[in-house]
Amino acid sequence: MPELLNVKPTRMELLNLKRRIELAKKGHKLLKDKQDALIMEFFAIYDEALELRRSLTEKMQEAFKALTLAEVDIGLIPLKEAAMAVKPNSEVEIRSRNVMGVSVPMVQGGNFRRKERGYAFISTSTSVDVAAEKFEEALEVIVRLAEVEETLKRVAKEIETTKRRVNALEYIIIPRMEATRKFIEQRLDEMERENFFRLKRVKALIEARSGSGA
Amino acid sequence: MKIAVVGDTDTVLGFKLAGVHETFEVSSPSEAREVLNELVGREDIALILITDSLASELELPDVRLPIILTVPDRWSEGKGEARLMEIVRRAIGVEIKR
Repeated sequence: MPELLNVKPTRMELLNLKRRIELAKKGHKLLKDKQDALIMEFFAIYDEALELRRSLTEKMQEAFKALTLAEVDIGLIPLKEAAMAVKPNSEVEIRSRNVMGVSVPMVQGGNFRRKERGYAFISTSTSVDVAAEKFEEALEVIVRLAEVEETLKRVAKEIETTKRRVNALEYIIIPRMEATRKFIEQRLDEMERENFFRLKRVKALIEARSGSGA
Repeated sequence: MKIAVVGDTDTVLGFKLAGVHETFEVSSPSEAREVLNELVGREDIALILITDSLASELELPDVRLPIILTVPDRWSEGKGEARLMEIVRRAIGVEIKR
């Protein structure tokens, strides 16, 4: 039995309560619709994220393999030196957009692949170029994944809060108001019966008195 | 805005070759946490990449910007996918295999 709200059992409160129950039910339906829509959106994003995740794992494996080859080829120290000389790659911009009332990021990345990296040709070899290229490719996937995975996280969070609200309305707030409404209705009926009986009793008394007086 | 990498020697070396703007070579999770905390407060960083192995050893800060993304390292097998599954499990309540 859900607990009752702290209200006086009056007709006024009953009317108020009925209105509030209707509002809560409407809100509940809206939130539930929102939750369903979010979940649909969530799965669309999830598929994309999973695909990108897998391709990133693959790319990184290739990249590490190429890195090892480069290391074997020219040695760790020259490789580190070459890495130090690499010019910074293009930067990224983050904007935000709205998906179903959730603000999600949009990562705009430049083209990471390039021909000129800045290290000397003499001290390095093609294996270094291959390794750098593989990591640049990975970077491209990363920029896309960053957007998708962050979006997924935010939508997931929104689903969680919506779910909590839907559940609170469905299992606590609405049952509590319904129980209170029932309580007030019973109480009002009771009072009516009491009143009716009181009137009957008074009538009987008056009749008895006038009967004995006549 | 810039991209930063926090990771082990190999990962850092690789991303350096790709021309990532800032790299932080760390050897322990606590070191990584310090670097992360500092990076999160910076305005010119858009994206922080941290290796899966390090990320699983510490709690990632919960911030909107910069975006923190875990990337595979040499030894992490499927940790990224497991993390995705965890997000799904929390949001939907069930695990879904695809």
